[in-house]
Amino acid sequence: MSLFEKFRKILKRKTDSTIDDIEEFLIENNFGIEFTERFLEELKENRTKDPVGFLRRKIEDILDSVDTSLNLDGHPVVFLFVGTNGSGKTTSIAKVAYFFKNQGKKVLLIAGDTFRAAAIEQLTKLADKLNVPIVKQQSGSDPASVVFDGLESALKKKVDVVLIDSAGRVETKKNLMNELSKLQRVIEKKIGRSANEVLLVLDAYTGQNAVEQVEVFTQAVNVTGIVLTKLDGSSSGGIIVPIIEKYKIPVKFIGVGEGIGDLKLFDKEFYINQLM
Amino acid sequence: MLIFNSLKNNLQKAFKFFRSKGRLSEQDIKEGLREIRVALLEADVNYKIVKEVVKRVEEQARSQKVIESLTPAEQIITILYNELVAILGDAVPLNIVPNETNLIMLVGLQGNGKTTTAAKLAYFLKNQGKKALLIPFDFKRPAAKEQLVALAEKNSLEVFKDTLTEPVPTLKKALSYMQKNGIQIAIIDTAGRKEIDEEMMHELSDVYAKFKFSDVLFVSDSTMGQGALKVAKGFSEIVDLTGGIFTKFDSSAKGGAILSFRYVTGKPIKFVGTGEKITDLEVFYPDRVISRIVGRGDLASLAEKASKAISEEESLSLLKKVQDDTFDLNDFKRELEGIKKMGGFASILSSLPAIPGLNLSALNDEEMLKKTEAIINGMTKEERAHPEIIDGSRKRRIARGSGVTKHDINVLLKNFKTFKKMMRGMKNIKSIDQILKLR
Ligand SMILES: Nc1nc2c(ncn2[C@@H]2O[C@H](COP(=O)(O)OP(=O)(O)OP(=O)(O)O)[C@@H](O)[C@H]2O)c(=O)[nH]1
Ligand SMILES: Nc1nc2c(ncn2[C@@H]2O[C@H](COP(=O)(O)OP(=O)(O)OP(=O)(O)O)[C@@H](O)[C@H]2O)c(=O)[nH]1
Ligand SMILES: [Mg+2]
Ligand SMILES: [Mg+2]
Repeated sequence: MSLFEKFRKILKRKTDSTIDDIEEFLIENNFGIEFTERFLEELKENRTKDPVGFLRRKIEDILDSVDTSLNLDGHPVVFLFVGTNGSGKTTSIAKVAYFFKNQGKKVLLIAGDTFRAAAIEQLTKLADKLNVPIVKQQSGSDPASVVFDGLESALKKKVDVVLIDSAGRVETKKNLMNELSKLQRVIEKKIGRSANEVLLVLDAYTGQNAVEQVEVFTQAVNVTGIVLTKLDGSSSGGIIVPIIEKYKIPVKFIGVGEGIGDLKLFDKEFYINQLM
Repeated sequence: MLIFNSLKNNLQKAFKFFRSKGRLSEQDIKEGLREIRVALLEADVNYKIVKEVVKRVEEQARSQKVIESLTPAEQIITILYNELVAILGDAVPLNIVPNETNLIMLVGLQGNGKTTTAAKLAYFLKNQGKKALLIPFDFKRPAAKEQLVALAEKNSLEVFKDTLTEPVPTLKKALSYMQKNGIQIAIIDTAGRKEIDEEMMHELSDVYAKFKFSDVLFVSDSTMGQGALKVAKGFSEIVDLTGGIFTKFDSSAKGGAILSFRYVTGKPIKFVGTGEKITDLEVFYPDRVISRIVGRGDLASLAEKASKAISEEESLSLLKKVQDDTFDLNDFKRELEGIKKMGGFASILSSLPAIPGLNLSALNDEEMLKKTEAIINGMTKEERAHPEIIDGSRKRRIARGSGVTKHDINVLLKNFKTFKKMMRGMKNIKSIDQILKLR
């Protein structure tokens, strides 16, 4: 049952159950208990006759509070993809490469995940499919050195867009987080400025742990945006609302499937509609 | 293990509230339960499960027995513990039948750890002297097969490379390969799929219908949120799952997804993934995890650790002393040394039950251990056996002789008393032979 259908039913009942239904909706969509309780307080104080509309406006306000446009200043444009294991970094890189390629841009990929079994092969296959160049080294080599090489090659070849993959890592591994900070420093050194976007790739199924992911990754690198993947699944990625509210980090892309075309620039209407 | 840490901490807040109350009023119960509810929701436990668990704890908490009890807080903690253990059930091993063909299939959403877990599982079996064949069965994701083959080769595991482009013919071919080579166990690494993807779920049910599987395991990321319930339900409706494997126990995941899985499928969690390395797979023991969450300490796994540091004999004699109430300061000193051998208090603090009054941090350093030693050495034989006779003047004497303060002696005696109480408490815990080893 969609929230609107629920709401229609609710209108016939008393306010208590409205509150309960909204609570259930928010919790089940991973907004988290803190956000939910705060919102329910606001709702009670406001005494609106249209609680669902009130919620929708609240979410819109939060989504509107950040700038979701891509930073494409400078040449080449450099994106670094980071995130926890299996969230969809490598797949998203292929999608973003396709997105830029369709705009006639020259794209280059850097296989910065030298750790996971066949991570390089996976990106290579995707690069071949897209017919874009890839810079890689052997499995097990130093990611910082791959990134260094890749950027050097990008500058030489005068490509327009450089997309850098990195190994998945859980937020509890301090040394792996430091390794990311190092990648960021290599990029800054090589291009004389920071990467255009450092994108934290977040799986829409994630629960409250997403907050820790954001907290820790933003400490390690200067995260400029989120790629919210797997929105084609049965989870709505509600956790990003409290995350945007607290950390002011916009969602820049959403992933809606496994194909290279299954990527959208963040679209508020789309997001809210699939949510509600 | 960091997973569940925040749930544990949040529940401790609720328990602390209950404990601060002594007798519980209606309002106290309400408030404490609210804290428990928040803790569970914050930990990604599904809304519906939380509702049910809280309702059941509430019903029991309002019973005469709890209200009139002298330790209502402990009773409520026990009720919650039992409810959670009831959801998670018992530890259940793989269904491997010797001298038969055992097909173990791993299924789940995209990117949740199936391929990595397949290799870990083969490695786990290999360490038990069981040979398992890894079968790449993901015909979709770029380099899925290469990933499994790379993991197999790196760790000297058997892998079936002769795959075709379709699932059913591939599995037939792999089966005849197994027959020819006398391999009885296969681990099948399927493609990630959404439970709402009809085509992919159909592919799965088709394969499921055509072969006999000894285990179909749902592999899931433990950072999953509320949606875990729907996903697990979706998969369990298509295939008869025999259990689950939860990955990323090395993250700070809240862990609620694990409860959701068991709650909705009724199937056990058989293993957990604790990292990216091939060895990072552990058998899952629900009661140990729940003990840790509710602050009763992971006694059994602590016992396992302890048994490595201490002989069986020693622990038996210790238990007897506890039972006969002859456990004295000499024994206490040895306990502390043993704990030091196990990696010091810091490393086992998280495994120990929360015991009000036991000042573990005070015991946590080398210096304290030295002091303890000095104090006990400064006592007479009689004092060690019957610490209750140590009065002010004896304390003064010991302090002078050992170069410590009277306060140090008081701390030691208090800790001894609490420790003894704790040891006595352990007698009542169900797996007594494991606790034996806790010395
Ligand atoms: N349904 C769906 N699947 C996705 C989406 N994005 C990625 N995936 C799938 O998720 C799985 C993991 O994706 P990867 O791109 O390999 O993830 P990763 O973050 O690079 O993983 P590691 O490098 O191992 O940390 C693959 O099966 C992808 O096809 C999405 O938007 N929707
Ligand atoms: N930290 C951690 N990472 C894990 C664990 N298990 C798997 N991973 C990582 O999670 C990522 C995804 O694992 P895969 O085994 O490729 O997942 P999958 O389910 O086979 O993915 P698809 O085939 O794309 O559906 C990889 O980076 C693994 O190294 C674990 O227990 N802890
Ligand atoms: Mg990757
Ligand atoms: Mg896989």
